[in-house]
Formats: sequence, C-alpha cells, structure tokens
Amino acid sequence: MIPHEPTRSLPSGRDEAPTRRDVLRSAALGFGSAGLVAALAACGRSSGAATATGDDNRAENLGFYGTVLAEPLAKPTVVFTDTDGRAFDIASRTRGRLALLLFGYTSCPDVCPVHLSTLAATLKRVDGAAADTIVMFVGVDTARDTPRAIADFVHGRDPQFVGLTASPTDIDAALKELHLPSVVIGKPDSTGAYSVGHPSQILAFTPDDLCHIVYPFGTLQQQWATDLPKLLDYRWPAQRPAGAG
Amino acid sequence: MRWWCSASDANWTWAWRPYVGSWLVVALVAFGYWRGGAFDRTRHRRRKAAAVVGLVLLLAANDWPLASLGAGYLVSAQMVRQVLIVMIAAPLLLYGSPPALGNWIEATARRRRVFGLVSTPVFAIVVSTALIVSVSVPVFTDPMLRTQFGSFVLDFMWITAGILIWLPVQPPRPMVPRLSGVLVIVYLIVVSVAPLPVAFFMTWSDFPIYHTYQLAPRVIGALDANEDQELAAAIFQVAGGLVIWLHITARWVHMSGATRAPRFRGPLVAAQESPR
Repeated sequence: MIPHEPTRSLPSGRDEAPTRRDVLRSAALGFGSAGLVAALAACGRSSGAATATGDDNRAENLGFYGTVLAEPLAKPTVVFTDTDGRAFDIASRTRGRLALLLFGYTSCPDVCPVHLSTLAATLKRVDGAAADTIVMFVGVDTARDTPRAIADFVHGRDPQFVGLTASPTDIDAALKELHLPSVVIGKPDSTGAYSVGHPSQILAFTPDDLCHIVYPFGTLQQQWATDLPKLLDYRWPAQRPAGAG
Repeated sequence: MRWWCSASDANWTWAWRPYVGSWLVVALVAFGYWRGGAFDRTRHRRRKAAAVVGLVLLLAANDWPLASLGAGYLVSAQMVRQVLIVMIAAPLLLYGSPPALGNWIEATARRRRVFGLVSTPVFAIVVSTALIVSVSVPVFTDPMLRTQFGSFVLDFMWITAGILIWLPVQPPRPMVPRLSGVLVIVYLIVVSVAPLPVAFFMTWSDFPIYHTYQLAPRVIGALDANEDQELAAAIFQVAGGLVIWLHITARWVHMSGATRAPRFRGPLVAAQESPR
C-alpha cells in the first residue's frame, strides 16, 4: 500500500529542521561560491536543480523524481462524474495518454492548491506531448466539493484540468483499487470547520495505462518539467498490475 | 512565541504574531540612539525624525506581518523587506545616528582606519553587492529561511549591506562623507545597477528559483509562485530603483540650491548643526 500522507504534511525537504551546523554549512556555501551570479543562473535555469525532494533518491528511481512502485497499479474501474455532470471513465478517457491523478478537496489550504498550481505552471512551460498531459483532480470532501466548487477550483488554475467527483463509497472503492488509504473526514469544530485526511501523492499513469510511479507533495515545477517528457518515452518492463490475478 | 521570522509549513493567518528578537534588536538600537544623544534638544528636528522613522521601518521590516510573509510565503514580500531595510531604513538610521557614534569612531586612529576602509566607495559597492547577491542565491537562501537563526543571518546581512551602501555618502555625524557633489550621484547610479543580475534571473528564469516560496501555502489565491517571483523582481528593480533615484534627485536639487546660495546676501546664522 502506498503510504498515507496527511493533508497538512510538511513538504519534503522541509520536514526535518536543519541543525545549526546545517545552517552554518549553508552560510559557508553561500559565501564561498566563487561565482555567485553564476550560481544563481544555474539554479534559476536548470531544470534539474538539486533539491531535497528527489535528488537523493533519483538513482534508485530510474532517474525520476517520483517514487517508482515495485508493482504498477491499474487505472480505477470506478466511473466518476465530471464537473459538467457527465460520466467520466478514467480508463477509457485517458487510454494511451500520460495522465496524472490526485485526490484532494477544494477547501484544502495547502497541499491541493500547491499541487495544482505547480502542475498548471509546469504544463505552460513544457513542449510537445508533455504539454497535453491529462490532469485529473478528484474532490473527496463530497459535502463541500460540489461540481461547481470543483470546477472553480481546478479550472481557475488550468481550464484543461479535469475535475471529478463520485459518491463517498465510490471514492473509497477507487482508493482501495489504487492501494491508497481511505479518506478521513474530521469532526467539525465549534465553527463548523473540519479537516480532511487524504492521500497527497500524485499518481502518474503512463501511456501503457499503468501507474509505475507516484510523486509526493514537494515535487517542484523544475522536476515535473524534467520527468513529464521522460514519462512519455520511458519503456517500462512488462509487469502485471498489483492485485491482478 | 518565536524570536525571529522563518519559513513554516503552517497556513498563513492574519492573527498577530510578534517576534521577540525583532522588538529586542530595535529596542537596543533605540536605546543606543537615545543614550548617544540622537534625540537631544540641540539636534535638528529632521535628524530626530529620521532616527524615529528608521527605527519604525526596521521594526516593520522584521516583525509580523511583513517578516512572516517574506520569510515563508511570498518572495515579493521579501523584496519589500529588502527595499525597506537596505534602501530606506539604513540611510535614515545613518542620517539620524547619534553624534556619540561618530565621535566614538573618530576617537582612535585604528577606528578611523577601519572606518576609512569600509566607507571607501569601491569597498562599499563590492561588499554590499556580494551580500545582497548572496542573500538572493537559492542554494543559500532556501535552507537559511527554514530556521529562525538562518533567517536572522539573512536579515543581518541586509542591514550590513544597507549600512555599507550609505556610509560613503551618509556617515554618522560629525564625520565627513567620502563623496560629495556629482560623485555622490555617480556612486548612487552604480549602486542601483550593481545588484541587477539578481532581478534579471528572477524575471527571466523559467521556474520559481526559491523552493521555499514555490511550495508555500498560498496567501493570495490569485498570485501563484511564478507571478509572485515576477512581482518580486519588479519590486527589486522598480521600487529599489525609485528610492535610489529619489535620493539622486534630492541630492541634485540640494546641489543646485547650494551653488545658488552665495547669491543671497541675508544674515549668516551660525548653526550648531547643519540641517541637511
């Protein structure tokens, strides 16, 4: 099972408070840079800028910034409903395409909007088939995530993004198929506000219609821009999806 | 309670959250100014006002909400802080600095030599630009912003850069500026140009250069990380440049007035302190 990440998890690379020695080492690094302007250029332009998010694990993830799964996942069989009220079967609508799927909720203050904004900004900056990546957002807080609310949430960032909803039972079934933990709706406080626990990873379905790799919160635009074209071209070894007989 | 601002995973809130360290630093500086005679009756009102405004701006730049926004949410807010500290608060604090400070520096030959070196225009430009560029390099800035100590170091570097930039033209009284006349204007133009490569990379980079701000919870929904960075570059160039050019204009007007002054035949009044 893919580990559950709480909604308000720290971004990768920010969850371990650096020690004073780390800070001093950073200071020495900053001062010691022979060409400060050159360093700035490298960071600003490089699509593979070093980050705490993925560089350390890239080698063991086939050069990708995401986490490669031991067994790929098949697309969920649940038929969702899009923001126009039409049935949306992920398997048939995304066949042979690169498609990204994330579960979230429209009132999410941090992870979901950052995920979507990051993807929207990235897709504006990549060329070719990578720019046609399908991004699907499933609103899991069915009480508040109305089709209208989901449409506003996703289309405000990119009109091409697909907003989806389903009954709580169907959403849980889809999460189970994807080996993801169920949604946890918290108890409302005195103001009526409540928290929503949901998987925060983005699942990448490659043109072979399987998900071989997931991306944690904290994946940067630079990293997406590097990985999306590679995801289109990479030849994955033939594997049966997890759970398939 | 936190002693200094730093990046946080928490969502932005408008609930007041003061930083003890910022208040303490400003209180210490204010105490030093008061003890050094910055607010004495004999001082010109303009200098006293400059000291007060400089202290207030220093606090505003290092306390909630601007410091919180700048350290963890919006790089544009961080640029506003930079302009406030380097371009506005620093010259005001130097202009309003107590006479005791200048007298203390001038008291020994060693201090005079050190001050003579750091107030050299070339030294001031090279070191202040190095400091400002260092504070803007992502591999340095991102990890520093994650801790209160690191963020304090960044802010201290800004304050140092600001003081250095303005020392050659605005040293503590009664010291004499290293530069005067047209040279001041030339110096300020060079100062305005020196750190522009930073703004260049912020404007033209394909992606947000700071991971801290790219992954921060959004404060303003309509302002994404890329737009925030473009706004920051604009603030860096336009607001920072505007402040410098206001200084240049003021100097120019003052110079013009000074060259016309001998034409007047009014009574000469011996002033204990120049009102400039």
